[in-house]
Amino acid sequence: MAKGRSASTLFLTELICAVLVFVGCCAICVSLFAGADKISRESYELNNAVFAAEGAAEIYYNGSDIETLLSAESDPAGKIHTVYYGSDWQTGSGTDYCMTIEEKEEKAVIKVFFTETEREIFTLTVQRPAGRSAD
Amino acid sequence: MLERNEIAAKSGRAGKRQMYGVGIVSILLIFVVLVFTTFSILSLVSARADMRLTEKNKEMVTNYYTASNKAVELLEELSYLRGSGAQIADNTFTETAAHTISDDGDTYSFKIAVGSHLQLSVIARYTGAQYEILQYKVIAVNTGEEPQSGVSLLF
Repeated sequence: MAKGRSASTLFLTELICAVLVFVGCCAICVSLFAGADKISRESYELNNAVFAAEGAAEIYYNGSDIETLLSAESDPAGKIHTVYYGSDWQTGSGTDYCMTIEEKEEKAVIKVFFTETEREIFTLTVQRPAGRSAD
Repeated sequence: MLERNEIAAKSGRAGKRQMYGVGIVSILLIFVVLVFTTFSILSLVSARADMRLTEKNKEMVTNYYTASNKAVELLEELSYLRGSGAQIADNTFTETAAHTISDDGDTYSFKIAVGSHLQLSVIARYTGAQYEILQYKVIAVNTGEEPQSGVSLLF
């Protein structure tokens, strides 16, 4: 009887230790998974921001109409164009991300940032040869 | 007491007690922890590799447009100098960009570094009022080093 009790006590002690180790390990693994997810999201955002800025840069460089091709909202002077992207990086599906194209003579500064926090993701400056304006 | 043990042995309970003995929990725990750790480390490594690739892409795009901007500036300057009748020599623009200019009548060619392994090669011809771009492409830098063979790595 005493032998059986000591075996079950040992089993219970082992089980409690295992649960404690498991909880500790889970906490570490979850933090690793969360870190990986954060890096993955940042990578996705940066990748899409670079693609969006690159597309806008090519449109600007070729002197094409940014407002029409990118479905952008322009200021009255037509020098600052704004494009909104949703969480899936599609235009018109939300306002999670924002891209502004600011034209200064034959140069354009393209900025991609989070709409809410205005935290910058990517910035690109592009210069085009004179006389390639869409106007 | 003896009867109970006999009944337990007949119903198979005694066999089960032997199967789930002390130590099986630790073995299971080690297995589960190893699986969890492996997957979490793999996901982190994969995410970091993705990020590194994205950073390289960002760097490449930034470098390309920096070189492109320099090329445009250089063409504008060439156009201005030609328009004003100034002489353009090989060393005219050495301070503004890392490039070489070869004068072949009205055709100018120059290369601007795009990062450390690539160059933006531009060939433009002056046609009077402006430039006609004949080539505008990214090429690999010719380092002049011979490629290493697998044999030389072994010995």
